[in-house]
Amino acid sequence: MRLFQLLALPLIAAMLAVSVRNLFKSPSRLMVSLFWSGLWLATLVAVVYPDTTTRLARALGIYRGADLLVYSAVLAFIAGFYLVSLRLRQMSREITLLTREVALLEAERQKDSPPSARA
Amino acid sequence: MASNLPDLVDGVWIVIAAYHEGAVIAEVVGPLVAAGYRVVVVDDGSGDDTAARARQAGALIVRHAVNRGQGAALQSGLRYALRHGARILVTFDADGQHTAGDVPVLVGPIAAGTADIALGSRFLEHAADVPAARRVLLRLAVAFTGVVSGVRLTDAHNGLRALSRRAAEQVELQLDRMAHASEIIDQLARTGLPLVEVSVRVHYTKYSLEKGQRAGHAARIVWDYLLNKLSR
Repeated sequence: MRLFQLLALPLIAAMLAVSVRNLFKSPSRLMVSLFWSGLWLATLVAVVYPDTTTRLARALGIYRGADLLVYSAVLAFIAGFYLVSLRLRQMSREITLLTREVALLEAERQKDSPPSARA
Repeated sequence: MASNLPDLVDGVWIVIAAYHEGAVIAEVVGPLVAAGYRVVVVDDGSGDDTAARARQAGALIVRHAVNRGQGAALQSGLRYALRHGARILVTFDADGQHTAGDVPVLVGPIAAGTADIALGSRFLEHAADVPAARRVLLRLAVAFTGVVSGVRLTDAHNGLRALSRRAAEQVELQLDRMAHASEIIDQLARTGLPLVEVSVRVHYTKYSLEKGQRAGHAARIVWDYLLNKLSR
């Protein structure tokens, strides 16, 4: 076994165990737990059997397994950036709606209070 | 004079979004209150005395606890005015670019029932007043708004607009920051309500030019607008 495998395998195994545990612990997040369990399992296989990425790459018309990983990482990064942008936008929208409701409630309270009590 | 035309004043609410405008807000609010309008200033989380000065000048205050942007502030102000029975709603910039004397000109077509939406345009009669650099930027904004909303206007990012109650009720700005200026045209166009452009004058001061839109903002406006369209 190579040094990289010795270093990486315990970490990957631990993450896989956490993901599998979440499968049973949080049924409401089943799809998310399945995604992460699958990803960590694939990572485990790729580290234990490095040739699998090369075979998969060639099946997809890419010469090297390392290239397949780079392409996959770039695609995952772009998709992740887009999803995070949408999530941030949604959170920003929620903050605005909350800020507006608080502001309108406070405005009504100020309007009904005597001038001396206003901040 | 507006004071001689009650229909152009009664039920007319002026909505002003303000952020760090303590230096000028009283001069903006004062003439509007004196003309008899109900004025609501949305203090968008300013760290200065904008809210206090606006209140002293006679405005009602809606205060955002944190800064959410001009679009968000305008939507809050429109909501507040609608809840209090506004008949006609006028959006008005806080930096002193607009004059109270232009309000009756905008409100006129709506009060007369010939339009539901009156948009101020600085390019109908007063294009020469616009600084050259700003003119180029605004022409680009006009072109962008025309493409995305399908409405041909002479001015797009003019903060002076008047809306009938039924038009304002159909506005729900999602874009919190500067892109709201294109979004509001888009939403108003989709109401199918009659729209007119009205000539107004914009007074450029060193203060307003420093606070106004710059070329660097254009990319952010386009990005915000397109992301909003894509994520629906």
